[in-house]
Amino acid sequence: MQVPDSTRGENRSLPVPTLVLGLFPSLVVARTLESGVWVGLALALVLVGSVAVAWPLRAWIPRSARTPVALTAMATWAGVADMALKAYQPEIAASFGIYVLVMAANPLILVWAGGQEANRQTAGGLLAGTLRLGAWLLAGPALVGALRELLGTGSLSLFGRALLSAGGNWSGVGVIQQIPGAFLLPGLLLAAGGAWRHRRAGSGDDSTATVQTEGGRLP
Amino acid sequence: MKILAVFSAAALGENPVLVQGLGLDPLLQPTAEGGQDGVSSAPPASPGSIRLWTAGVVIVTTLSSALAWFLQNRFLEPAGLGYLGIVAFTVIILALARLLGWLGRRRGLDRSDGLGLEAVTTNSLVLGLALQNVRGLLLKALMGGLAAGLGWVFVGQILAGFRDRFQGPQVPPPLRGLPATLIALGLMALTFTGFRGMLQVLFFR
Repeated sequence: MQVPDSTRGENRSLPVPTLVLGLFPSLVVARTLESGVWVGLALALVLVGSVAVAWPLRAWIPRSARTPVALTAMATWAGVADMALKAYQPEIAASFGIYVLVMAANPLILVWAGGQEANRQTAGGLLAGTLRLGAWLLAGPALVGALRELLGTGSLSLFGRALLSAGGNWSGVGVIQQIPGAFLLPGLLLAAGGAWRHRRAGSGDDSTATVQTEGGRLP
Repeated sequence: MKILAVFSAAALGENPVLVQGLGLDPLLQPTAEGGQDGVSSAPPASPGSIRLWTAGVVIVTTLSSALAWFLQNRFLEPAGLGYLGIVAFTVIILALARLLGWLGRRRGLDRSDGLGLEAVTTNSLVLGLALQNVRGLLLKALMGGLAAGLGWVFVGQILAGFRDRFQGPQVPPPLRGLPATLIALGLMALTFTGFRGMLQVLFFR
């Protein structure tokens, strides 16, 4: 995922662990593929909406006030997403509780919408970066939701249509669809991705590969 | 007894991190970014700064819960503007965080470059608690905010205890850092869900 890191004034990619962490706490309510899709749509709406508000105003806002302005824009759009879900998908909105509104404090969206350097980029670069990050925010919860549904219930469905069924006597692992699953599954996915990259990098002492796959040294 | 029940439920049975998934970003961001790995250009925070930030989060969760309750129940709901709560709460949290950051710098406590305290105290934990605590009584909101803040500190302390061990050579390379931390959090979350039953028996039977 090549999302420019605007906070450090350089056009470098955010590490995968930071991108995964940016999906919390929304991942908690992505219990099924369908809820994951709705969470992803809400996150993408908050991202696009807050960038659309913060970017055109950048010339009139002092640097020190850009983060508060971005946070206020994110809060407004989180409110819009919550009200839209309550109007058109009341059952989904009820199951989400406060988690749509909490998107107003999403660290990934804040990095992008309130980033100091992002505001100096060209419109094309900003649009491309926003689309890439939006795609990640849409796909991440949907993927985790699909896996939690598949492992938790043994079947997969979207908007009432059955997509997949494990069949047989598989009844699923219920805990995956509860809160612990929201931590366990991304952790296991990160570990699987890390193992795959580690194998690709070879068995030698490749410290760069280790840093990028595992999040690096802890302070 | 009721206050003790509310306090225990908010800190343990409804722990904001392990049972609700709130406030993970300030706890795990150092794990995700790494300290001196070339990914993060920021120097690791000093223990004094970390203590100050932790205290700042607890203060902001407590005060913002009480202020959000007051604003929602005394002004917004009576005026039919309850839907504006999210924006109002965000402004309250930003103001509190900025005030605390200013006080910290003025007293010479916060010596971090950049936003420091302000950045740490503006997160999903504070906003989530403000949104949750607007129902019920003001005292419950105040106690709920304080207890949940302390519950967040409790989990932070546990995480700090095993954080370095998850980077050691005894951990397989693909699991080092965030993957092992998330798996450990998942197992801790399983344990904490057990507190719900225990508190039910102790206080609400």
